[in-house]
Amino acid sequence: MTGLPLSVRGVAARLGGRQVLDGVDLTLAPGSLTAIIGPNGAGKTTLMRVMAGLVRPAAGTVLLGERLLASLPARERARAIAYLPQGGSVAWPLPAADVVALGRVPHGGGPATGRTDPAVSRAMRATDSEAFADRPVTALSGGERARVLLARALAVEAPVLICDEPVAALDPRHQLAVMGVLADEARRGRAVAVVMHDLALAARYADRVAILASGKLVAAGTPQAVLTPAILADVFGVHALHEERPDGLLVLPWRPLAPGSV
Amino acid sequence: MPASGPPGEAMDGERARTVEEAAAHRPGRWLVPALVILLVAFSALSLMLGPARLTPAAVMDGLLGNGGVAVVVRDIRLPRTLLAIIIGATLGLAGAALQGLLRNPLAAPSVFGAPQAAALGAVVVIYFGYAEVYSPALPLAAIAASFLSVLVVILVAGESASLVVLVLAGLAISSLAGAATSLAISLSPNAFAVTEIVFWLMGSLEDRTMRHVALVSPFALVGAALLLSQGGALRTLALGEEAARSLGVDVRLLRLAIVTGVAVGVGASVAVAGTIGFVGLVAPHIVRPLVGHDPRRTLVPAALAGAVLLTAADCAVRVIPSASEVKVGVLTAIVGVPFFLYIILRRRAELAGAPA
Repeated sequence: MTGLPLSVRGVAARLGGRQVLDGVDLTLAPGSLTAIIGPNGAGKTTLMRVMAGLVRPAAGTVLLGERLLASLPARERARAIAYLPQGGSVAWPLPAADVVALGRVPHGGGPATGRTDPAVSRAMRATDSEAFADRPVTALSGGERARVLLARALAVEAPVLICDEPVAALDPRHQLAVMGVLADEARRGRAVAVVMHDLALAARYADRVAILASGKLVAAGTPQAVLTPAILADVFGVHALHEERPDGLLVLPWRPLAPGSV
Repeated sequence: MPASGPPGEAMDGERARTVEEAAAHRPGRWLVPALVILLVAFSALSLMLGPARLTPAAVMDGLLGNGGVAVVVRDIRLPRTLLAIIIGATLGLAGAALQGLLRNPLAAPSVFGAPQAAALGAVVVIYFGYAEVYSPALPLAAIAASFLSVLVVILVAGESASLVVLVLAGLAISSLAGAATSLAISLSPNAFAVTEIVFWLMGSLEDRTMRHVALVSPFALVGAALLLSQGGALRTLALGEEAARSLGVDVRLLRLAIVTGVAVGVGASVAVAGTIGFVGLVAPHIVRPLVGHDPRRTLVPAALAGAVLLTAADCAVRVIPSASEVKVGVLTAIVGVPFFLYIILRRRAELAGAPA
């Protein structure tokens, strides 16, 4: 189930008459964690939805391996690409383990068999959410719920994993932990894409960083190549601390730049 | 390569309660048998109750066609009881399916104005004299009108379907249907048509025959099949539309199947029994906590609970002392509306937080 690249070629998308993506080329490689960053409204979520096969691009193609994503039956696509939407909520007070088990639906599983499904146990262990397996998901704290929803996406065990802001609701310890889980998933051979705003986490955990601004891909490459003071000033209008450390790259937004000083 | 980071060891570690151990806590195994027993009990009671009260033995005799009570039991009380079961189950199932689709416990056919719209559909047919009471034109018109009402509410409420928007849209639809029905009454050419129309407004199971049962059954079955076919999709939809689609659920098909299933079942029910509200709201609510809030496992128990509720209500109207029998639709509304208010009360915080 591992080892499928997902690539978009010249993708454009419109939303309510506004061009939100314009000629984006990007490949999620197996074994690699790609951080997607960019200012608010840059088109990050739309790009994730296009890559997950939930939005048909107005132009361009999405390829899963060598096949057109649009030509795949829904169930096959669901097995190949796990998608964690931004800020997800669960409508009913279902037990957390049942929510995670919904990740097995594309494989013919679900809450009925979820308690004995090893993929569900693995996903809950990986996200440190076993302790509240039986608690209603609506009664969990924001951080606990975010981990359960991540476990739901992990439980699909798809070759491609796309997460839209998975660490936004988490405390620092769990931010690091979740990024570590996603990096582990990449090391197991999955192609992982993570939308995030935290430049420090992107620098520390991503193999590749792609920067979107106004619907265009403005930079893509290793964190060292992309998260440079010049590019960050240009894209985000911030001055960032930047330090090569022996155990990785440290990038920390420090102060906003005055408009026009870029 | 990224730094390996601190997480690995932090996220492992044994937990006292494993996922497997939790399997023992499945709720509600006894629920369906209990509801079936209740349904059998109330059905028996329904066959016994009436102007002439019968003993269980007399009812058995009557069902088998023996004795002087055979006509009473088989031709008067049996159709009435069967209709209570079929229509109650239809309404309970429709409510559970709509609540699952809209991810909202306030959704129900009557909150959407579906029965009122169905009644209008039937009234229009009667008013223009297109159909006599047993014609399939009546249920078809009722189905078409309730389909339209549910569709309009769902389209107006949109995908997020906040409580306030949903309830307001349903209020608008039922007010419109009510006004149009009043117009039909006031423009009625003769007293006979007025009587006929008033019949639709007050849901009742009195004086029905096996022809009514035959009329509603195929529609009820088709509607139930459509709704039950979407159980798995409804459960996945608990995660929201985006996540459900990413798991392979065809949300458009789901929505169409539910709207059609609800319209077919509720429309046909209204065509034979008039408007009977709030069973679809109350029934899923009672069973949901007992099945762990799972939208899929709510469906069948909600149907059974709906059948129990309506059969019980139809027994109650026969024992409430009054000059003429209280209409069962009036009784379900009298009980159902306070229940509706109670749910709103419990979710008041959410309602207050909903964007206006």
